[in-house]
Amino acid sequence: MSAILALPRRIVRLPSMVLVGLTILTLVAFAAVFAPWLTGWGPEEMDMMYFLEGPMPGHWLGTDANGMDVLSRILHGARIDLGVAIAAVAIAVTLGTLVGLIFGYAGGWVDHVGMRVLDMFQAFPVFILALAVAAILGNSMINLILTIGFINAPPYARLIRAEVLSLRNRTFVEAAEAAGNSHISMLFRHLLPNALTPILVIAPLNCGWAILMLASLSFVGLGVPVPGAEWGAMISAGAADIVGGRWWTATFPGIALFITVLGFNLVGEGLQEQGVKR
Amino acid sequence: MNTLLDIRDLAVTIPTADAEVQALRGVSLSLAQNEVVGIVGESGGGKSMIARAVTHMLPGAARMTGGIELDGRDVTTLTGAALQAFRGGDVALCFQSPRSALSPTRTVGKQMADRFRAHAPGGDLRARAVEAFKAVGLREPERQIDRFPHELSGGMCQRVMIALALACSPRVLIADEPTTGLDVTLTGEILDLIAAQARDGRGVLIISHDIAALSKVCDRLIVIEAGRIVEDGPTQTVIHAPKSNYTRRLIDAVPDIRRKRAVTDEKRGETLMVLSEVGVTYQGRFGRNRKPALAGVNLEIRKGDTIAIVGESGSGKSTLSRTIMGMLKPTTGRVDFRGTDIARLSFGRKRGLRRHMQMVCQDPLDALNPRMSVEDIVSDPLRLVERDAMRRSALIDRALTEVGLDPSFRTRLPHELSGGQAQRVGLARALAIDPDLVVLDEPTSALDVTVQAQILTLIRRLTERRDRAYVMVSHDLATVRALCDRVVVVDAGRIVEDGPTEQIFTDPKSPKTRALLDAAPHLADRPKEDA
Repeated sequence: MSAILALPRRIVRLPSMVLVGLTILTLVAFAAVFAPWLTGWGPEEMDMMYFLEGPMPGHWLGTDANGMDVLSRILHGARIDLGVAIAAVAIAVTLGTLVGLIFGYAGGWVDHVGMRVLDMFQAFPVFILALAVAAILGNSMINLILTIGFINAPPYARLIRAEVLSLRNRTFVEAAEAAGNSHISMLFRHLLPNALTPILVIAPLNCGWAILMLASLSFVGLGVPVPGAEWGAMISAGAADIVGGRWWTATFPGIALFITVLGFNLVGEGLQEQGVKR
Repeated sequence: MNTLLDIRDLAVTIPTADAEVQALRGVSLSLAQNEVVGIVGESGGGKSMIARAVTHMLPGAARMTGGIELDGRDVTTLTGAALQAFRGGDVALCFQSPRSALSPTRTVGKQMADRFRAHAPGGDLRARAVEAFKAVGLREPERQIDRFPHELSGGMCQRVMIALALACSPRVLIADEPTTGLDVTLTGEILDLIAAQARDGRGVLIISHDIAALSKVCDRLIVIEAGRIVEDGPTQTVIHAPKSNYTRRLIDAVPDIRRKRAVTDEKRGETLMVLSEVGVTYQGRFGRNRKPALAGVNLEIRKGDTIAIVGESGSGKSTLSRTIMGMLKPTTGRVDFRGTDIARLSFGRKRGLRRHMQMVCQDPLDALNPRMSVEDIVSDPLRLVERDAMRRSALIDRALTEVGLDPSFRTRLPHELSGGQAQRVGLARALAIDPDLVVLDEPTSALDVTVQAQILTLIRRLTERRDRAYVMVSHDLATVRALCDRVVVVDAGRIVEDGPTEQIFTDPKSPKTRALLDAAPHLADRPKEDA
């Protein structure tokens, strides 16, 4: 609780890297929220006058093969990409934290068996696993969020488990047990708040990867279905146009993707550096 | 005697985020050949800064003024190779925690050889290492030489550290808190060893918070308070006729082993706990059985008892206290609390026991959850019995007042507390629920002496009410004599002696007890008076 209350004081002392990252993410979030008011076109609205036209007044970033406004699609795409990424990471953090807490606290065979199961999940290359799960579940938005969330959970479980194991040697944990805390209050009052710091550092980095994963899934056709406005899907659809010199349909969503991932990485790495210094 | 090291008007300032901290102010001191000088003070007093200033190892941003001369040569301006030669060759440093000051990945013999190679090459390095280890009293040096630091005990590591420091026969040996974490018997041995190095023109500077231990080995004592020298003189003068109030406070705070507890002949209350034939064996890896940590322990604890469990580190006294608390399942025997064998209770039933027994831990700062406020910490055990937040809040206030803390401390976080305050919070947590049995695990060993005295006074006040039983684990016999009615001496997992305090102190039966009594720190040759 106190950690949250102390947050405003801490933000002032954050490194500039984090502040730049936060600024970028704020702008992207702003674009996502106010997308309908920032452009005159809907994300799936076709302008029958212009197909595959370059940037020009009215269509500042050009139109795609269906005559849809690229700028509008990018702004609306931010809603999907940011939303899916954050929701997926939230699921990954919650799930991983719970599992890691329980493994680390229970120890013994629960820990042994549990960790081997995690090993099994992590033995597959992440993207291959995502492809398989997405292909089996089908590509609804909820399924995408769940898939990306599940796949990203094991590293959090590992991280939290390691923290809990080292916390178990601290006197205050033994003291808490001797004071008569229940399992629940040992887990959530004493262990969790002290194990959470590394998670706060990894989670923003993970948001960046999640966006890339969503875009990659869409790129190979397992993500957001056409004509949904999602950056990966837009790049995928626009890739063919580049050959004909119509670079804008793929390049601009690519830039949006790049900037957003950069924002998350700046925040994550900045926090990490701060953590190292502490 | 010729002056060896001469420090004149030394001042060190360390800039922090808010202000500049004056770590040292106008410190002038000298060290003569063949002299042992002790620097005493409490933590945060700046005594370590002197050692760091001499060896150019001040923290990065620190600024230093004043003069430091060795044999009349100014050493404050040394750089590069001259500084390196000065550090190893003229002044050598023994660090506080020897185990972490030694490289964990090289055997101690190799580290010794490295040191020779750097400062005094030539000859058979291995043989020289064995010789050096023999000189500092390391047992079986031929065997220890191929071991890694983690395979050696704390005392052995400190001996290795001293051997390393002496490798190139320095003119000045500085030992910074060389006995922290060592038990009483070892503390004496190590200090004797360090002091014995003041020969052939070498001077020795020992920095410590333990004025009693220093008074036995030092020719001269220098007392530091808040970065200033408040007293400097021959040991006997400083101990028996201290000029400054601070010195007097330090001396008064040393618990006197000769001071008895006022014995009250009250009837002992109901039996709370009986340990019968308790044995604990920690399971080694791959099912290998190791030596038992406890064997055949019998103990009865009654309401109103104040029992001390005494022993050297590694003797099994912590294992015993944890078994009493039910934190550890004994391999054999029974631990009965009011007739139920607690060793075989489920976690849930054991929780129920916590309203009757509580524990206070050794390191007070580490024993408090760093993310919880004082009131949350104290309310922890209370939540077992009191569901109503208002009444719980009243109990928290009562517990804090009982241990001498203002209720305004409720919102503080552990890092905003001093060591003594943190230990008071630890006590408040244990007492809030009004338990029948309190286990105190070395409650003062991590505290400064003057704070120690305050906490002991508090504990004494609590025990004299005799409304519950206290079990105190300790290696400090002086506090034990002042506080406890009964002493249980543990050695190698067995109870070697158990009896009334006075009997044990005046007529010890076991040789182990006698050894512990002899090693107990007290001020050198202080006129005796029985209180």
